[in-house]
Parts: sequence; C-alpha cells; structure tokens
Amino acid sequence: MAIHEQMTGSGTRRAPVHKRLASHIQAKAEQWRRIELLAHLAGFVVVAVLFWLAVSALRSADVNACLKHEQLDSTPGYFLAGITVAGFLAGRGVAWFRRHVRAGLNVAAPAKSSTGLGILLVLFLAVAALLLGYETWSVANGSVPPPVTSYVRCAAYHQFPLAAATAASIGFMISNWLWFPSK
Amino acid sequence: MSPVDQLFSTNGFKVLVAVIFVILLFVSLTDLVSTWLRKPTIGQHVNAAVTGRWWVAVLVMTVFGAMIAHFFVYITHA
Repeated sequence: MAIHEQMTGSGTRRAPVHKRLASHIQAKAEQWRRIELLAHLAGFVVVAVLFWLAVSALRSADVNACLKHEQLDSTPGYFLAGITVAGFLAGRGVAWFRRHVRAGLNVAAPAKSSTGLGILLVLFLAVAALLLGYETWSVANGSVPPPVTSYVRCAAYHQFPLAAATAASIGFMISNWLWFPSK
Repeated sequence: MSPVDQLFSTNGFKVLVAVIFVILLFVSLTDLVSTWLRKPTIGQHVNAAVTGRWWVAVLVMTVFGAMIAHFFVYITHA
C-alpha cells in the first residue's frame, strides 16, 4: 500500500519528514517520473560526454607521464576515494526517490531475478575474471607488462577531473543497483 | 626509467577506457529505457536477485571498497 494512502484520515500523528516526502513523491508520481526521465537523459548525456573526453584524452595521451610516479603527491588519490564514496551515497538517495516514484506508479518489483540479468551478470563477471587474470599474470611476471592497477592509477592521477567524474558515476550506479531500497 | 615505465602502451589505456565506458553507457541506457517503459529499474532486478542471498551484496560491496582503496589511496605507487 502506498504511504500516502496510509496517512489519510483524521487523528493521524504527524509522520517523520522522510515519510511525508515519500508520500508527496508517490502522490505526484507522474510529474516526478518526467523529472526522473529528464535526469536520466541528462545522466546518459553526461556519461557520453565523459566517454568523448576520455577518447580525446587518449588521442593526446603521453604514456611517459607515468614515469617516476612514486615521486608524486598522493593527495589526489584521497580526494578520488572520497568523491567515489560521495557518488555512492548520492546514488542511494536517488534510488530511494526512484523507488517511491515506482510505488506511486504501481510498478511492481520483480518477484524473482530475470534470465537476461543473469546472462549480463555472467558476461560482466567474465570480463572481470579476464582483467583479474591479466593482473595476476602481470604481477607474477614482475609487473611486466604493467598491471591494470598501474594503468588505472596513472590515468586517474593525470586526468583528475575526468577520473573524479567517472569514479563518482561508477559509485552512483553501483549503489543504484546494490543499495536500491526494497521497502 | 624502470621496465614498467617503458612498457606502458596507448592500447592499454584504450582497453581501460573501452571497458569502463561501454559498461557505464550500457547500464545508463538500459535504466533510461526501463524508466521510459515504466518497467522495474536495474536496482529492483538486482534487489530481487539478492533477496535471500544478502551475502552476495556484502561480497560485491567489500570488493568495491577494496578496489577504491587499492586504486586511489595508493595512487602514486607503480
């Protein structure tokens, strides 16, 4: 039952802010859905722009920038970790909003996992296993050729704004998947 | 210059960008379409998949946290 339906009737105690907000979202779900769609579209465009920026950065990339990496200041790394966690928390907030839009629209949550999702998960894990296999081989071979980790660290350090936006997007999407509120 | 430095290649960075952004674009587009069609989100599908298997989510989160620390906290290590 939608929250706004539970809160009707006289003599009801004033509900906490988050419940009132959820009630408002559910009551105006159609309007909020339009905003959600626009935000989604904007998000997709942002990811596409980030991709284009990354490809542009690749064109002018100087792999020699990775030289003497150990002499650099590691502070940007802490910022990147913090930005990723911030993206993760923002993703949870947006997931909460989306969950209530769906409740207002009466979109039923799937009762069981779908086959399509299972196939995608297998593909994703296959890519992850491949990368991990390369990483293991590289490390076992004295980091020759450089492992994935070295590539990520070098790219993140020398393309800080791009890496920060990408890391925040990844954190955001992961919490939208795994921290989506169930009730 | 160490052997590691000498062996960095542009192709390695191309693979990195391709893997990250193909996944991000695909997920973003899928979620956009499911919202447009009023279907459950990816989050709701994953929720259904891990209901009763909460340890899967805990494992993935542990790996995610470890990767953030591994990549970024020691960003200047080779």
